[in-house]
Amino acid sequence: MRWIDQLRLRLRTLFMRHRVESELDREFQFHLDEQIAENLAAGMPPNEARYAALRGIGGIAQHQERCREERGMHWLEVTVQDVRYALRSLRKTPAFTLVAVLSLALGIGANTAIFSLIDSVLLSSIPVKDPQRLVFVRTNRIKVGNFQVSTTILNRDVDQMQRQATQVEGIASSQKENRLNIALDGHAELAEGDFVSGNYFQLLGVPAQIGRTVLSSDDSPTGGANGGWAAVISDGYWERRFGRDPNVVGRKITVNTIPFVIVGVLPPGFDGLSIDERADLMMPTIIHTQVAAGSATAGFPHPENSPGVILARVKDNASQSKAAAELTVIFRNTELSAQKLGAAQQESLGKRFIEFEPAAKGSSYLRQRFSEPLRVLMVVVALVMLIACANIAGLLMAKASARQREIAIRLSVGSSRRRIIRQLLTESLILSILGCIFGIAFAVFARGITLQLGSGSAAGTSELTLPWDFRMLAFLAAVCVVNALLFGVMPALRATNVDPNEVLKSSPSTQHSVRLPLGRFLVAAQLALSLALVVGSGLFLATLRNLYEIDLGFSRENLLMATLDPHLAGFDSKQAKALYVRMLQELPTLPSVSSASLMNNRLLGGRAHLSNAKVPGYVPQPGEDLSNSWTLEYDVGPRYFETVRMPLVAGRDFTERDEESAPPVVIVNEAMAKHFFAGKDPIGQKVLLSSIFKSGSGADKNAAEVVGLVRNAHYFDVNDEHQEAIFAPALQIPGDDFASEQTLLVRTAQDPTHAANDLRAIVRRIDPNLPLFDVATMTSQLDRSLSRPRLMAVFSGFFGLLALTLSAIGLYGVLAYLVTKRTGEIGIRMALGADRGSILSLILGETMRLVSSSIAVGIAVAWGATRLIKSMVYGVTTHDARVFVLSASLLLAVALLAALLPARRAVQVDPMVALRCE
Amino acid sequence: MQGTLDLLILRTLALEPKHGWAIAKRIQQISDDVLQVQQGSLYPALHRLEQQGWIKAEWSETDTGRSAKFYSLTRAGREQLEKERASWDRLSSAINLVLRKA
Repeated sequence: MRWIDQLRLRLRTLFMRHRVESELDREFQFHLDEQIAENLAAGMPPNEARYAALRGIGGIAQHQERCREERGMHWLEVTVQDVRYALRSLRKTPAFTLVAVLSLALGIGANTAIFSLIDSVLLSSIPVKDPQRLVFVRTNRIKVGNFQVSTTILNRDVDQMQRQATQVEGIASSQKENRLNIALDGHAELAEGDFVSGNYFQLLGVPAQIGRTVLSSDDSPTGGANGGWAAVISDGYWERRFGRDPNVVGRKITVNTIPFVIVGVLPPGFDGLSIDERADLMMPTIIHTQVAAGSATAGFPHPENSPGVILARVKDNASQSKAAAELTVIFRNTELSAQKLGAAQQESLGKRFIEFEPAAKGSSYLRQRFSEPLRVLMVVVALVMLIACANIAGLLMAKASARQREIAIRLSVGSSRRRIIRQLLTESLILSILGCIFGIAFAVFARGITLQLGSGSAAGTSELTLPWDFRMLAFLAAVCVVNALLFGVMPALRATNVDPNEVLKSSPSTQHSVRLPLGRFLVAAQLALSLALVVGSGLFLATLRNLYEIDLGFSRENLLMATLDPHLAGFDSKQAKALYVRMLQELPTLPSVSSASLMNNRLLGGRAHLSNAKVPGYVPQPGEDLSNSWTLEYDVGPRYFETVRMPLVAGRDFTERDEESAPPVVIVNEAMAKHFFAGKDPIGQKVLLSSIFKSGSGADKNAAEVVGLVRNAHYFDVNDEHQEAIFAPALQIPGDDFASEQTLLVRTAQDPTHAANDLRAIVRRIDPNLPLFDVATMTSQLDRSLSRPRLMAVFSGFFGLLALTLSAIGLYGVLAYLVTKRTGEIGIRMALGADRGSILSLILGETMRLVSSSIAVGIAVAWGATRLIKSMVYGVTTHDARVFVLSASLLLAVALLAALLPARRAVQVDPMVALRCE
Repeated sequence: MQGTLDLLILRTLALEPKHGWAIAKRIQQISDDVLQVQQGSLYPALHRLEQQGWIKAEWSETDTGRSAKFYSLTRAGREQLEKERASWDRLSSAINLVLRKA
């Protein structure tokens, strides 16, 4: 059996190496002996016979090597040899190995951390059937005043689209509720859920893993007839809440007191359309109103309600643009026939059309918000990686020139150049693998930070998971190999491209070129790139500082915010209002609270209501469209301005007396007053408000009297422009219209955390089921709203320093090498009377030449590249002189620091010792 | 030509097992000193044939009582020899034809 013979030989080569090798020696020895014997028999003298035989055979070592190459396991044998050689060589130079592995680990770790973020935020997709044909449906955005506004598509529009559209297979919708009170066997817990249309799962092509999904029959007024409404739960929720109980189907739960029956479990990996939020359970849209109100008498969704996120599946043979055009026509016709529109409104509707957005990757707030910073960071970490590679290439080159003699000897005794290159590359690959291993450890650490920075943004509810998937591993493997080639090939080629004769003839200290031009070029490039990175991070740091130093227009210290939603505990609107009134009475009695108020949207929470304010007697400027003029509207509690400390310029604050029966009043800010009451005293003027977010009868309020003028402030974002804002007393809103979700504002005497506990205690005392969420101090709210600039500042700062450190190491390596190579020269100079100063200036001159060219190039690069981050900086220009000068000085200082040690060594050269070495 | 050396080695081993030295001598002798096999080609070729399973090696004593590595044909090797021999015949007669008639 031929294959058995072959296998036996391969195993022998692997496991009986010594025997195989000694047999090879004996075989050649036998041949040699026979030749000698023959020569002797031919009458040669013994010595002559031996030499003749040896000459005849030629290079025994080479012949044996060729025999080894014939072995089946040769490649493995050689690899093992190379690995051993590489490990030995790395062990012999621990400082080099440490620096190389460390710089690689930092570079790879940074890359991995950023890539894993990009992977989960930008690249991940939702597991649905044929995702390419799935689109999000929305209307185009139109600039309204200072805002980009898109019209809401209503239930009635979706209804008609579903009925009339021929280019799409169907229209589905889903709407998120972040806080649902799920009671199971009398035990309540908060969860997040989606309300989905009956055709949602069928349209997406997502089947249940057990049981069934929500069907069209569930999404009808009679859907709850059989003991409860249908709900499907996600795989994650099944695990967390039910311990993967196989009998979960059929179990009864209540959601905000409404009875539900679990009908199925969704497949793993699908928990809604949003990438950074999860839906624990999904329920039919029809029951949304009742669940949201926490009351079975709340009725069903109104045709004028919004169904939330709208999805369509474009038919196979239809084009997206055609489908969008068809939906646009249906949308406009539905709206035209549903309401009586004035000419201006009709014209405005004519500017509205339906837009599609690909749904294959799901929707993601984080993606929208962080895709630009992440792309910039990816470029930054790629540059850091490049610097690390250049660094190691430089070090390897220096190391290789120290090994020149060894390599020359090996070449002259018959090693092939290919084999030596292979060994050197093995060494690079091992370095790279070690770097990867430590890099992963670093990445895990860095990801923790990234997640913290990232999740601060998404209203605190972000549930971004970062799985280590195969994409991640493929990325790592690719980085590893590319690195090894990047920093290994050039040094290996150069190291082996020597003439053994030349090298071996020369003395060790005068070998080859001392100039190391490529090494210098690499270091100069590293320094230039680091300077560009440092400039970038300087700009981001300045941005962050500027943002933190913005005068918000109110006092951020000792201010506590907490959001409440009594609907979730079964309160109706009237009861909710009464509750808030009671809380505003009780809070100031606490010793830790100096004053308290409420508002309908958090300050700096990124949300605001827009109202169309009309001022009787106001004459519009030429070209001004009053119907398209919007003002921020906040409904606030008594003593609001005292509590947040927005200074009143004139007039008074709101009080408890500004309630339903009192004459309507408002307070305006200076921007609003300047626009509408220019030159007049705003106090006592009248304003008519109609909110664009309130529909139907409640839209028009009575003319309200302006009772106060307040300084401008930043309301919904730290760096928004000063917007016109109008404040109305929340207590004047009738109980039936009172919004259940309100944010309590508490000004505390001392540390707000005490007040937070008191606040919780009060809420528990009033009703233990009353959910209180998002308790945050103004300072942490500010941190949250600055998460994006902070992410950029922290990361670019870190990577800038990392790059700088790596380049300093590179510079040190090259200088140290130069000093070593020129020890003889320095010795001669000193012997001839050169003083230390001139030796010092020799080394520092070298450094300055390198650094000055790097600074020139680095500044030029930064000058051009910072233009790309123009939209991400605040309060500085991208060519800010201070940042550029400071960065360059930093680079210079670090470079001099790196030069210090080699310079000291050069100065301390003892001429006698140096010359004796020759 | 590498294939040619393989063929010569296989043919030399067809009669009886031999060690490397004897194979070289035998080829030289039969070819009236025309073909001198160098060690640098002989031993790699032997190891290659062994790895391919055409021949196998065994240590035993020579006539003079010394231990040497003897190679012998395997069954697969015998078949291979026939195959290579046939293809050599075809090749050489083809070349002869061309030399005579072209």
